[in-house]
Amino acid sequence: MDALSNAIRNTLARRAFLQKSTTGLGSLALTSLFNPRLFAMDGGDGPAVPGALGHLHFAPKAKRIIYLFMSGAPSHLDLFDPKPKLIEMTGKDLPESVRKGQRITTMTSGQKNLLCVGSPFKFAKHGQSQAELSELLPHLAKVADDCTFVRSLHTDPINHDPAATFFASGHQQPGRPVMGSWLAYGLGSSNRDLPSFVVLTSGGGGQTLQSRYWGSGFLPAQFGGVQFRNAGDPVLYVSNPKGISTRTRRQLLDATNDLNRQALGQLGDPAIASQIENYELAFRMQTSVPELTDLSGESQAVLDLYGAKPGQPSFGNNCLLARRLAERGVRFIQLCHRDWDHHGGLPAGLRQKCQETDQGAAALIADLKQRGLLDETLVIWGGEFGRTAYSQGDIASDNFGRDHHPRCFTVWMAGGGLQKGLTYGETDEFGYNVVRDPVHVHDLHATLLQAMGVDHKRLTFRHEGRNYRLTDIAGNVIQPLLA
Amino acid sequence: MPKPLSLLALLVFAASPALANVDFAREIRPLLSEHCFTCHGPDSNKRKGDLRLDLKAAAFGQGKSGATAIVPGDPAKSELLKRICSTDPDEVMPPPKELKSLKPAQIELLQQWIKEGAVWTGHWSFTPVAPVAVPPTPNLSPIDAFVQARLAKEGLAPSPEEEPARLLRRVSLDLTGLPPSIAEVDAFLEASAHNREAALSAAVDKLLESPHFGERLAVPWLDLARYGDTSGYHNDSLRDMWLWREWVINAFNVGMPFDQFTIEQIAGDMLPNATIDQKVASGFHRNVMTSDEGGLIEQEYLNLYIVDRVATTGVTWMGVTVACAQCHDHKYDPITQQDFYGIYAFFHNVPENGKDGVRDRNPQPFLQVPSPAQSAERQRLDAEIAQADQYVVSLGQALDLKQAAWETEVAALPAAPEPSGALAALALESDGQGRGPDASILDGAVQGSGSFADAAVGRGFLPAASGWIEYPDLLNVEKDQPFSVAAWLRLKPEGGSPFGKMEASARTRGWDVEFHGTKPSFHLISQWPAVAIHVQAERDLPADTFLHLAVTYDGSGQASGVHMFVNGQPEKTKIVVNTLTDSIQTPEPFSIGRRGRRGAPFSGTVDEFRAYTRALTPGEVALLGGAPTLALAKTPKEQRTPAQQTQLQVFFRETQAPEFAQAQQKAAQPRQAKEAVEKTIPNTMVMSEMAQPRETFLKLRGAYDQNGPRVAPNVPGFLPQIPPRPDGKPLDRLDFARWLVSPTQPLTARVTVNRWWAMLFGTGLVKTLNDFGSQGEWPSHPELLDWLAGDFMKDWNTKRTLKQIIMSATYRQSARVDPALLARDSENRLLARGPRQRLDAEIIRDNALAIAGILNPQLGGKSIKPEQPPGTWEINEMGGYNYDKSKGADLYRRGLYVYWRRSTVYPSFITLDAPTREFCSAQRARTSTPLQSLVLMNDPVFVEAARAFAQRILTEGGPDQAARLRFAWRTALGRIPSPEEIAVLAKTIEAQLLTYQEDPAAAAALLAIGDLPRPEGLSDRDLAAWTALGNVLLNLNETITN
Repeated sequence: MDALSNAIRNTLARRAFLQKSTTGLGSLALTSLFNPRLFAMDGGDGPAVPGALGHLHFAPKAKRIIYLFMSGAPSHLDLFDPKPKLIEMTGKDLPESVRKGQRITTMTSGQKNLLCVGSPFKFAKHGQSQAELSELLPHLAKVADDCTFVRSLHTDPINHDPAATFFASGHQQPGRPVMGSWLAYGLGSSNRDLPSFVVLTSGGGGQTLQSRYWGSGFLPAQFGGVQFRNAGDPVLYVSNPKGISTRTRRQLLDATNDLNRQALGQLGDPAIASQIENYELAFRMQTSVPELTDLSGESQAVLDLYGAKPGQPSFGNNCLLARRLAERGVRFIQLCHRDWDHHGGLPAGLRQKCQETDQGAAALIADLKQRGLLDETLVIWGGEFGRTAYSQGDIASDNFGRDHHPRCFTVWMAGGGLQKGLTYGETDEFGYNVVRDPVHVHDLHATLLQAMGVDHKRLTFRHEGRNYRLTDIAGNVIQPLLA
Repeated sequence: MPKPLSLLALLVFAASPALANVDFAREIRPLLSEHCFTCHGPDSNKRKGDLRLDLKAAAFGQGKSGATAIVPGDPAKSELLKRICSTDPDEVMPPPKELKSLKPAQIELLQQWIKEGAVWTGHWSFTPVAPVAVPPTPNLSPIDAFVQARLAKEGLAPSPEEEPARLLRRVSLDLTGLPPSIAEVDAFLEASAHNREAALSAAVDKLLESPHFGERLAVPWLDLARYGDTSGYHNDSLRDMWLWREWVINAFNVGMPFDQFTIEQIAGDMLPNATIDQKVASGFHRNVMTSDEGGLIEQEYLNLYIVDRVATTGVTWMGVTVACAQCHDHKYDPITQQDFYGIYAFFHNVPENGKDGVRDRNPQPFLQVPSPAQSAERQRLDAEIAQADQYVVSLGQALDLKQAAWETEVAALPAAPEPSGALAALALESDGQGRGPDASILDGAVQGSGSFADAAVGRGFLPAASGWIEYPDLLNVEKDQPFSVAAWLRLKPEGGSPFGKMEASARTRGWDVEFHGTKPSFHLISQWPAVAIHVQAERDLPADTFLHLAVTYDGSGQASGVHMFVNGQPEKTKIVVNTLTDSIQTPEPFSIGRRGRRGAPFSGTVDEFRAYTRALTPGEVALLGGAPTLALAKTPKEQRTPAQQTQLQVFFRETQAPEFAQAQQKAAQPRQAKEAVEKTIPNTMVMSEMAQPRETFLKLRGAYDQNGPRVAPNVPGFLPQIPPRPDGKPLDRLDFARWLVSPTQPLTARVTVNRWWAMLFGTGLVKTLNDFGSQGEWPSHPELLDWLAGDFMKDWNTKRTLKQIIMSATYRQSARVDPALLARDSENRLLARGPRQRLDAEIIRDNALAIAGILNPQLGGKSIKPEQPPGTWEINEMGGYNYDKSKGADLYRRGLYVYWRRSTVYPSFITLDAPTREFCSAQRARTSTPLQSLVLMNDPVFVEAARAFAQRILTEGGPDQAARLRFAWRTALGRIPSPEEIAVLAKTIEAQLLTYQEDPAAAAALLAIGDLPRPEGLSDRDLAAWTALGNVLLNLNETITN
């Protein structure tokens, strides 16, 4: 067995993966046989599961990303990008000089008027950086100096499914790997006992989620996000069946691997060696996953910080889990919180959503910071597009709605080698078009990869005759965002 | 940047080792493609310096600069090499920023090729499939002759034939996805002892005739066809396409020739006198994902659907990445943007919409496929409907006379003939004032910031969420008092309560009308929800238009005493709560705009409120809701427009003529019955052609809203063309389908045999199954591929081709590999050993169920829903679809029948590398991950299979432990176990018998997993211990590998 596996290691090691995986998929099963020491990426020890990149292209500023996806698209105009002009213009038509004939959805294209509507929420400046935030985000206000606000983000699609797919994967149609998959593929994982890309969902109703938002696209499924579930097993089938104790499982696993080792001796197929190793990893996950998801060991102070309650799934709980995943070296942690799609009832709905998320997101930053993890962890918060300056439907003093708006929206980021307290980019006085320092979603992707030490043009995968990348054929690193 | 080699150094370097002749197609073209074609290839928009290196004439001709890129025989004069070797950063090619620099060895190769005379040939896969000479090797089949000739060249020898038991298992899993039984293995061992060739031939024939053959072949085909049971995008609506899946299975089973298989799927609907089956087959391209997302732009999505059809056709039949030419000419292959839209035009005439608009059944065009009994029932009901309709028509004359009399009567009335005796009539023109009984004045106080705006009759009240009008003493009704309320309403999606009298306290005592979205409810509440009546309409009402809503209540205290009317017509309702036994009276004021002082503000407009202290009759409600129509009766008949005339006639007949209503109701009964029958008739989406074809335009930069020149349907210019049609009409989809399998089209046969090869060997002769273009991989055995393609085209016989490959010595080799061979050829591209690959996700399941003896072999039919973990469909619940787990035998059907929801695919399949089927997929990855181990160890489906397996071992496996262990092993793996293997099993079962002896509760818990009933007469201890052993066997690498 040892001679054989050495032969496999020596002859196949990196070459098989790095070269062959660009044209086919046959040898991917061998990834777990690579020598981790070859990859000096996560400090001296290297990643436990190496990635396709032999070395990083730049010195990394961040080792991992936590992406807080606000599904349905929060209104930038009511949270991050105050527009006094809209208050003044409330009830009046959006000037054509602003819209410039740009397309709008068929939910409002039939309206007789596109009436401007100002935000009913008060904005104030916070911290040394004087970041302007809506009154709906009191917790974020306290950590505003650690954040970077990009007000000039823009995207292409105008509907949820394609825009969320675009934000995740750089393409509006299904089929491309998402950010987390690219990083899992390129950089591997620094913890063998946990997946390198983990997804947590919270909230219900509103816009749908698709598993493609964390799908590996044309990359093999092993690079897809692994959903940690709120009900049942946190990771699918991590628990033994009732009636199979850990001791029994160990016995059965020993028998399985014993027989597999005999088969390896008879057949010499390295896929068998790989499977043996994966059964050991699976067994370790049976311990590491429950330990990870058990919040009972967290102090009451920490639980209170996040507003988390063990056993009651919430965005706050997921933020706390995100910190625990970050501590354990998971490469990409994606949280999805639903129901930000405020076509109507925005004032009440937005308030509700902020109450659900503001505390947890701000706590995550504060907690990462106090544990010294914020410098190496990049947190990003945002939806798939922004919302319109005009109201969908009638305007009442405490009720109106906003339609989809891809031309500009705000995301905030924190940690991981980003500028602190920066507000970047500017939109016009209607919050409709970007007027300074535009950042396309491709540019954001390029910048995130840069922070992770990766040249977005050089993390590629050959598929259907082409070298694909996260940024498609576009993307510019936005240097001013990086410290 | 690395310092480039100087040309001189290169020449010196290259002169030393003599290289064999360089092969342009294999070695040079891929190099030019990868490093040069982006700027010097087929894409005219991105071409630099007017230089093309994908065409011989251009590459060998004098360029714009006067220099010649390639001068055959003279590397020093070839500008190509000069530029590649330049040290000047502005001169060197490829430009450093492209990150595509050539390696010294590659430059050397180019130089050698030019030196040898720069022999140029066309790209191999685009040239016709020509006859190939088989290497003259006696006693070898053509396949083996090609493979062994190559092995000899490499100095390798083939492996010996696989042991018969392993070979039969491999063939069985490859052809049917199911393992052989012990009896089948034993019979094969015996037959093989006499004559290996004959034994295998007979076994293969039997497998090819098995109905499970079609199921197994369907699996990769469904991946290509991106088959799913749902629409895919956004809310991922439920669909029915299983009839199409069944067609595929049957087509493989009956041995339908692949050319016919192709034509029927691309254009079966267009064949002369197309049969139902042929129409069903055309559903291939209706598997495309569609969207019903609110707000989407139709044109954008329709474009996506057609682009997907072109891309899928390109990969499935042509092995070419046509999709690249959607936005620009292909960068590497000679496919122009014009070519792309030429194919697009074939698929552009389907009468479908960009927004599919249907969330609970198939969008158009679809085909119903009724059984004979269903057809007969439908016919019977059609006759009944016709008869009932006839009767309605026959009433016409009498009704017209009656209507004329009624009109005269109505016209003579001074005002709109409202039902008399209103308790309240609120016009809501500019304030809260209105009429009470006997012309008394009612005065309501406007509260908050509501306003009055144009409405149904004059103006109406717009509460705008924060305004309401209070009438403290009005409508203080009790549960035993009949009353009616009515108003004109303009609804908004946000709903709310237009009027009511209800407390904001926890018990919410009182009554109201309330809209959830645009669906109306009527509540009478004493204590919510325990003591109350709640009646709700069955449908959402239209928003943003005025409609008349009336609710009558008969004072019975029963929900059945509540009736709802919209625009004067009875509205279908359902009873949600019917438990009212106590008082509903409350001091809260009656309000318009909300249901009291607080709560549920109404988002729309309220106009012309009326209240009565009796339950109005349907006729009275009709008058109340019909005011605008009634006004028409005052207009002389000849001055009415035809629309007004119709409106009045409909109103009269439906509200004032009971005999008409009765006749209509009678006609509605068979209609409802027919609707119920229709719902049970299998339905599948098909292709069809619009009478007036859509025009196709080249889309500039691929943008759906940027039309370029008009494009006629046509096939790509670089491939053999379809001759013009004799009737002079434009080419259509059927012409295209026939072209795909025409003898001169070089791609389909090559691509298809390569895929069969990959199915059996794990890797294709061309590894890139989806790309036979310049960027695809060069075939490992080009002559063998062409020989197989030429042979396949003789009869397009899939079964014959598969058998031919399986009977080859190459396929029959042992899969055993030693470290030396592994090091030499890790991926087995040279075929010096037999194939060995992990089974597909569905087949891993099938194999486990078959070993357990619980596989339900039922062929075809609807999709099934096995046990699935919670939280899977729930991330996409917008359609309100429930995952209703199947029951009984359906739970144990084959994996390819598992319900395929494309936004949330059955989790264990995804873990085991199945694609999502959102788009065409030519090859599955084969990864090995710990998550897969967890599925096989702990997924209840596999645990239940282990339990059934245990039961089988205990009842069929023989009298003692030794016999049982042997039975268990051979049921799982076919072959006879070694003593070492048996020793591991023996140790395991003994330990487990002890474990479950000591812990009966654990045994009981383990045996409770799954839906299968527990057998009688077996002890928990035995069953649990053998279940644990079964779990081991189902997890073995050999079990999940062919």
